[in-house]
Amino acid sequence: MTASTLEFDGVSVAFGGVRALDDVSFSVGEREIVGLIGPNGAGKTTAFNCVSRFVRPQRGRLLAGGVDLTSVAPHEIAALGIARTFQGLELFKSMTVAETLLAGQHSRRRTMGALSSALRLPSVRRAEAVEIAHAREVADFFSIEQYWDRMATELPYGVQKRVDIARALVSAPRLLLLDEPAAGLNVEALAELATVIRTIRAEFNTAVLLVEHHVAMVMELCDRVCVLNFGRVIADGRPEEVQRDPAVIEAYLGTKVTDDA
Amino acid sequence: MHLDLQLITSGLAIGSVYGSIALGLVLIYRSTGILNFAQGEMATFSTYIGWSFVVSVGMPYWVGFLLAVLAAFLLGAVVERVAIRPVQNQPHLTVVIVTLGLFLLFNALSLKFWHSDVRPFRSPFPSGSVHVLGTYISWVSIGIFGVSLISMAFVGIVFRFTKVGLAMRAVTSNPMASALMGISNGRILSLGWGLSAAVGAIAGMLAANRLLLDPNMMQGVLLYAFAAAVIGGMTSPVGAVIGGLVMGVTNALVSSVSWIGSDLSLAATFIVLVLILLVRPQGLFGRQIEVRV
Repeated sequence: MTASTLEFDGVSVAFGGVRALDDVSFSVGEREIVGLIGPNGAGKTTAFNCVSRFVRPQRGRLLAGGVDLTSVAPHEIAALGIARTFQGLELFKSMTVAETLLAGQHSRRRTMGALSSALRLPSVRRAEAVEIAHAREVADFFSIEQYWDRMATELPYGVQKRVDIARALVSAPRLLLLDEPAAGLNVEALAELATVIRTIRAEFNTAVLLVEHHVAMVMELCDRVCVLNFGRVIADGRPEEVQRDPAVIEAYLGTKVTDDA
Repeated sequence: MHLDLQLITSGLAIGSVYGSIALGLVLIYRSTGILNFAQGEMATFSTYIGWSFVVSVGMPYWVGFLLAVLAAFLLGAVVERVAIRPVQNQPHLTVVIVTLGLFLLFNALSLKFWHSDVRPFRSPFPSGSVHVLGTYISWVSIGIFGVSLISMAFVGIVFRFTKVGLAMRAVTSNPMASALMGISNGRILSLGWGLSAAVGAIAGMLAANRLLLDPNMMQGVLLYAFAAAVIGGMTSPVGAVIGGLVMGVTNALVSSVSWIGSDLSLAATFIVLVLILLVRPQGLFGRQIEVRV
């Protein structure tokens, strides 16, 4: 088995008495699209926040390319090839789309001296030209190039969403975390989303882990689906297997009430 | 009140000092929500360091000046790391008490090392004046104004054109998202405090000739700088600089009115501040505060 891009290995998180994650193990392989689903409160967001280092697991390991994420600072995650989007977008205020896409590359940008930057020395301009060209390519892919010099937070919601994904992808991650990408999308955009995510994998050569409420979309899109319920993994497999799994059906629809109980 | 050019340029010169200190306040406030009451005292302390380099050691003025600015930068970064970061997530009042403590600390350190006597600090600029439009403008005023403007422009360039500047803006706007872009919030905040202290040191060095160097030199300036930051809208660096210039010029003009004089000029200047805020409560460059629900 090849080294997985991300591996949860017996991860447990408790908030007070509540077990948010209970001995969770699953993995995301290279260039794999994995969906993390489950009813409300199942622990999906907590799992995501463990990877982003907002939440520290009490037990277990979180491996990314052989490095245990639990011993890494939040700002070091990007350099390990992990990027994420946000359900609330969290774009930078008073930054243009261009600046946003430069900030997104922070982990790979070369640090230039303040003085050489201020004087716009040739070395600075060359490095910046490469970064800008890369940002333009990504912007072009997401059709946001026409908003290049506009303030990101002043754009329509749909465009902001694309800026958010573009900001994550300019860092050329090996794993992209998508936090409810379907939230707030209309029917047509929703239909397109699966295609967009598949194209992202092909173009940017990245694995994708998404948390999503929209089960139909997840089933259509993902190579593998991991189902959480009350902080435990109750199913992990190909979409068609997971869909038939009695534990999953029970978690989503409740137990069948039988007369002879 | 004489609206003459000499008063205005002299007001602009001291106003650029207010503006520099206000800029330091705003840089820290907008990224962390902290009002740094020690901004002025840290500047005084750094000015003494410069004074020691130039007067005690006998270095050329601008060498001592640069060393003092460098020392101030390190001082600011260390203060952030040692005194501010441990209380960063505490209630506002706790942080305010800490910066007030830093105010007392740096005031006491200046007093301890350099004593309370008032010292002249020679100006690096020529002493004469230049004849412009029928009036005389002193080289000292031009020098103070020019150097302040260059230092503030440098801050602007750092923010606008450098990787670090972009990272600073990202942290100011959204610390969580910026961390996930690979930006170390702690390092950026240290840099921000360093930059603020460096700009403050420049202001202190420039003001020392005019205000005379003593441990309390920047206390009056800090009052004006707070007012300048408020006029500018608290979160706008450009606003802080313009606010400083407005305070300086207003102060120069009102003190030339015979019945106000320099005794009442502080009060009169603040009346102007209140009038501005009556018309624009959010300051000249501030935006209405948005409260996220």
